[in-house]
Amino acid sequence: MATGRGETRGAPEALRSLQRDFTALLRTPLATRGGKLDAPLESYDTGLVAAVLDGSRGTARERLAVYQRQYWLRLFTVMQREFPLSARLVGMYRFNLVTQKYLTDCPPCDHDIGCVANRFVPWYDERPAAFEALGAKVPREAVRQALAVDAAFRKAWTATETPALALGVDDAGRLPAARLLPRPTVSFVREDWPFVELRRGLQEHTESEPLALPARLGRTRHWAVLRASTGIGLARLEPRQSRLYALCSERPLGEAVSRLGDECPSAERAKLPDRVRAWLAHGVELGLWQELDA
Amino acid sequence: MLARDALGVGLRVPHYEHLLRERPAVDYLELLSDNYLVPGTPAHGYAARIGANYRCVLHGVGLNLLGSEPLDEAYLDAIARLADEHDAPFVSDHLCWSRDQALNHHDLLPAPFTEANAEYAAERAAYVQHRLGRPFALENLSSYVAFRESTLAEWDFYASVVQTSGVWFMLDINNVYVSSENHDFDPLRYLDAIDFARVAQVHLAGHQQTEQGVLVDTHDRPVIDPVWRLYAEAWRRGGPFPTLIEWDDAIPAFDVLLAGLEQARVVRSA
Repeated sequence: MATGRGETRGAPEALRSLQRDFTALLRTPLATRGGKLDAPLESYDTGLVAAVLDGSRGTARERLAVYQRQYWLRLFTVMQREFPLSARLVGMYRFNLVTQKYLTDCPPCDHDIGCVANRFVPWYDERPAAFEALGAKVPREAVRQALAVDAAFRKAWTATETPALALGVDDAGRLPAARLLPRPTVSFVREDWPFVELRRGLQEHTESEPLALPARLGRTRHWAVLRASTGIGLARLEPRQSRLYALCSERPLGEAVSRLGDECPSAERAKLPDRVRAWLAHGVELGLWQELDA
Repeated sequence: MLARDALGVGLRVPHYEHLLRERPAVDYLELLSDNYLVPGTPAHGYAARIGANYRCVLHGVGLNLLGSEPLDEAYLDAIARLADEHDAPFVSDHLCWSRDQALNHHDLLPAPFTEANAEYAAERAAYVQHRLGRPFALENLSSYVAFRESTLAEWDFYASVVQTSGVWFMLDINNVYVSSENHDFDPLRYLDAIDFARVAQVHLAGHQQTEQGVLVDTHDRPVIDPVWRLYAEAWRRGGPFPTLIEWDDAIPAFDVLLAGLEQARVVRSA
């Protein structure tokens, strides 16, 4: 028996070969038939089918199909759970079709099945018309914002937490040269439809009925989405406050404030220093930032 | 180890707050290891807080014991850390494969029952138990296919791996029943092959039947009577052994799980 690190032997060749074929079968996308997704039994590799016995409860193909359906349905379920707002806005069938394309490009690799959703938003950003191509009636920008809201909620719940920035007396002098980095559990989102509150309302529900696209807001709203002791925390931000937070994650705070001043109409500039102080204090109080990156 | 007659349930998200607030009486909890491996996440925090009040064992789905890839040492390190955090009496996973070509299928997949595969699995199982430094138990699968290449009965394959490796049985009675129906064998023959002195734990769960007639291990409903009868027979032959009710989908209120444990008490005292 092996006892040291990594000393076990290689797998029997027949097992390797079977697993290659089985993997290919699992990853074959489900076929669309009459508005449903189902296993394409007729396309199965004949060698793998021949390796499996027919039985009283189904042929070899029907039995293999149980695994293929389970593979996809399990992943669809995870994607629907991780992006419930987006899935219900575009409809589950269309959502599944798009996630099947995504999962074909980005199959699961991690032990944690929830991680399968990690690359969905960047993947979608490269294919902004993915849902439209399937006849979804939701505007492209609405889908993009819904995905961002879902992503913010899952990040708040799943990211590894780090200590929050606590400013001491000695830090005042360091602040202008420091970059304020959001904690891993914090996201800043903007919305032109009331998606944040809609998403919060989905927290305790597992329904899958389509959601109607709500009326567009009169003006864009900004939010910080973060982890709170009781679950997901939400903080409504003023537009300039949101802009400051974005700027100060990209450049030293002094430069960020200066840039914000340049963007403001002259009538606002006089009050800006006080407002910046208040916004920074608010951010610290909310625990938005992780550390000073001087 | 747990008390041999201990009764437990799987820890699931909908019950976190109830367990913290009400501290219902249950002998132990089983943590699905893969969900609690990352410190700093809410899940890891909940497990620590809940685990402070309950004895916990670990049950994984990501080991890939029968996979062709080398065992994932980082994964084993994480499991070992979690087992240490909870001082788990034992750790279990499945006699299956779940990954290939660096892809994780997130399913418990079957392999042919051959001597070569049994030797391969036994060597890796022994290595895992040594690496973890605590008892390691292997669970039998519910399976939906049978392979032409198999030369051993499933129960002989399972017993061979456990005995050769020196690990433990994590005997899932529902899986025995599901596989016996899917592959037309007598589940009592399965029990004949089990050395009950080496059973670390028994699982009970519910299953569904597909339109095609295949039984599928879904963990989304109560244990059915034929499975209770098989459990009673296992208890008669080899009890006591720790017993756990699993429920992973359409998860009911905690009281429903407690009612399942009560039914287990009744069944084994009959």
